[in-house]
Amino acid sequence: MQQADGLLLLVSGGRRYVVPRRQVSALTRSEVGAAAVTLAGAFGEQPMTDERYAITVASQTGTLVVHVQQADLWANLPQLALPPWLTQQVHPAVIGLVLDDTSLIPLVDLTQLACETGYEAT
Amino acid sequence: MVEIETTSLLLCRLADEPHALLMSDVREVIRWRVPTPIPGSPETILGVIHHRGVVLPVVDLRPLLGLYTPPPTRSTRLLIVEHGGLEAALVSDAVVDIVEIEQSAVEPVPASLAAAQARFLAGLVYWAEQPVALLTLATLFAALTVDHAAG
Repeated sequence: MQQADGLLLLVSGGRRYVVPRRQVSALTRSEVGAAAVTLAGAFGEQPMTDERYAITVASQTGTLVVHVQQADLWANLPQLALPPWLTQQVHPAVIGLVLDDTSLIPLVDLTQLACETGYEAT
Repeated sequence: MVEIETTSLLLCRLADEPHALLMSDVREVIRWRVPTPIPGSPETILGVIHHRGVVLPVVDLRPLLGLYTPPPTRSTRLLIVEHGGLEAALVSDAVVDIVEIEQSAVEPVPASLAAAQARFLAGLVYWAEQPVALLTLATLFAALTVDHAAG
């Protein structure tokens, strides 16, 4: 069981995700425009109407801004791997799981998400 | 004295249909627990749970078997199974019984059954005068790991 880097807990579409803190360069509160990309939407899920926090991710192709409902700074938590046979079947940006007491939260690589979704640099 | 070979089966319900699993494949039966959904998972993988230090995929066999998917109730159970080195938690709408049957009592799968479902069955057994589909984890796990990876 590894320890994840410092984490951000993100809530989008009513679901929880964690991302490595070092991947996020800015976190601001902003209005959700029609063209806004939400984390839930990037995973093909239904976003909520209150995805008001914009997180900025620096990737090789530019800057990705993703909207979420909530973002909290979390300490290191134990990191677990997905069962190997499941790894091939889930979204490539899901790189593992974080154990929060007894519940699991998907650990997401935001730079991989930017590559997979093909968002244009802003 | 003739020794009769018997097999131990766990009888459960998937939707309203009785099904059976070899007890040798079943490690544990636990109450329903809401799994953590994983983005991009196929419809048969409802998510994952953390159980006794292990991450287990929660697998819903009902769509694979062409059954409807009632929501969880107080009777819903997760069957922790292990076969061929793979572990998973299978959703069952209820656990009915554990029975001992003679191995010779396992009948072949009727030819009239759709091939898509028949491939997941090892045979039919009778319990309380009702036919019960005996599931084979070998083909179920193969479908989960190969079909979805390919698709």
